[in-house]
Amino acid sequence: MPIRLLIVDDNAHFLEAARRLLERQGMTVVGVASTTLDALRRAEELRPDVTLVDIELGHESGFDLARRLAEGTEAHRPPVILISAYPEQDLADLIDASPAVGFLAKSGLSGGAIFELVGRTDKG
Amino acid sequence: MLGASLRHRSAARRVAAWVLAVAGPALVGLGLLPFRSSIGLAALLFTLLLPVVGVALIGGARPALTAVGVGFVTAAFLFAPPYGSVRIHRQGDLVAVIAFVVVGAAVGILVVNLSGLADEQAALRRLATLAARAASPDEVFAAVTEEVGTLLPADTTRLLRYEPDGTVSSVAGWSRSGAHIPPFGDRKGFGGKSLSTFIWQTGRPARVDSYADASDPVGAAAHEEGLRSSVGTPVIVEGRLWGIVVAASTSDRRLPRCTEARLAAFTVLVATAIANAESRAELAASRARVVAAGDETRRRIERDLHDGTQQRLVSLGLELRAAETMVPAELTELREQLSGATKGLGDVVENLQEISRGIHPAILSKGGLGPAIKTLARRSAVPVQLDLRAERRLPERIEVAAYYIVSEALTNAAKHAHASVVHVDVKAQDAVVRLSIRDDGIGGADPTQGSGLIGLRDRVETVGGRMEIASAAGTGTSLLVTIPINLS
Repeated sequence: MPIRLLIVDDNAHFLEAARRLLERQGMTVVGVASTTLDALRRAEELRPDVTLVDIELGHESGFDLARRLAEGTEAHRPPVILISAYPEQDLADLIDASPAVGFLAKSGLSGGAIFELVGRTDKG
Repeated sequence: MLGASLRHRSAARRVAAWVLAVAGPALVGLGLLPFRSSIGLAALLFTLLLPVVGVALIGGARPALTAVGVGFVTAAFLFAPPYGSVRIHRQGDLVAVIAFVVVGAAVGILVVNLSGLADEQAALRRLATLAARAASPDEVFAAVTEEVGTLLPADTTRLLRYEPDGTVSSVAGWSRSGAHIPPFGDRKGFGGKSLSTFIWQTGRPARVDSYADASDPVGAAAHEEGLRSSVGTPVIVEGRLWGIVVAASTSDRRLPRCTEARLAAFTVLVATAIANAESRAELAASRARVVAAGDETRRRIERDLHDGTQQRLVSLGLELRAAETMVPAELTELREQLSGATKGLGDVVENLQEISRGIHPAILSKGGLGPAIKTLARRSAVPVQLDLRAERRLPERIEVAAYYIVSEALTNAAKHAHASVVHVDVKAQDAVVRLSIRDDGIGGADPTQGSGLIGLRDRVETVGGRMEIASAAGTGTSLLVTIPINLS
């Protein structure tokens, strides 16, 4: 059963490129969103297995969205993976403080990496 | 011209001068009486100049002239025949005594003027020193009103400032009685019969001898304070009328005619102090603007690089990797070429990240000072003991300044101090940020040498902070910085 993904990013190029690559690698991208509000609505409606959230959503903060997704509804609390064009070490303290299950640099994004992060949380 | 009446004397000094004026010449006469036949009248008269000079020095012109008079009587009574009477028979004696009166009066007045001039010069020198060592304008204002009041026969003095809304405010005041002269609680309008009006209209010194029929608020306030005779001179700062120095008396006695001229010397100093303070404030503000503009540019360049170039490169990388997955298995060479290009692109992205981080650290704008300092500490080449109490977000310029200070200090500790550990304390509490960075290195850092310390001091000063450096050789270097959190 392929992992069902929701990708939240305010950059259209990235959404397109990420969707193409991840689908090639066997994931299912069930939806994309570029604002916090849109993302919360999609998550509620699509029930993805994992939500990828860009740390920067224009003027909005991906950390805030991750927190709200993690608080979620009783029925649905999808794991969040933060993504960014910044390397992890640049924002490590903020990532550690967030409820996200992990972080992936955008340049290192891959189905395998997502699978590994989610799989690890499932086990742990 | 400096008259005796212009000298201010304390009450005790005044009494002493009068006592000396009366008793001094008499005592000199009585003291020399046993030698009358051997020394003669001329020697006595010469000696009598001594108490005249003394009285002039401590008491001013009136007691000095009195001493001359007492001297005259003493000489006539004791030393000029017929003795025991003020009459003088011998013509030679008469000429000598008259000469004494003329010379004594002239010497007395000369001494009074010279000593008044010396007092005034001393006062001006004190004020000039105060202004030159960059004392705050308020300090200079208070000192000017006090010096002017002490020197002139004024009961109160004030420094008034013309406000842009067409009123005057009182910025400093002094009173002879020692009573606190409060600054006006509010600004007062002018336009009636008051110094503020006359000087505003003419730009020249002015005088008011009664505020009884004052028709504007500033004049009414003067009347209420009991001011009678007042003299004011304009303070002109770089060609514009800034305010006035006012000397006033509460008695019927008019202020002497030379008051205007004497005040003028002081207004020049006030103007200089104001001009200095204004240029200093302008310089500080412009320096802060330059630094802020630099920071803003760096932040913007980092943003543009990140949002534009970096994001585009990352997306291209993903597209290349997607293309790579589509290459048929047998086209090994193409796959390798694509893979090489993807890797090269990855290196470029990393390179760009490195450059961006140097331009402006993302963690600072996204997480604030706390997380940014933690990141610095983690990345420091020398181990850092961190005590961090800075949870809330601060104005950006303060966050940036504090970040660069810690960053530079850590770099110095690693590069120059050969330290093995650095203690970094950061506290943002109440209205102040306190940074303390102490290392256990070789010390001997000299802020006057072309080190990064000068740049740090500039940074600290542009946000109105203070920096102390202790770096004796062998004891490590410690840097203490306090920055006020001005939220405006």
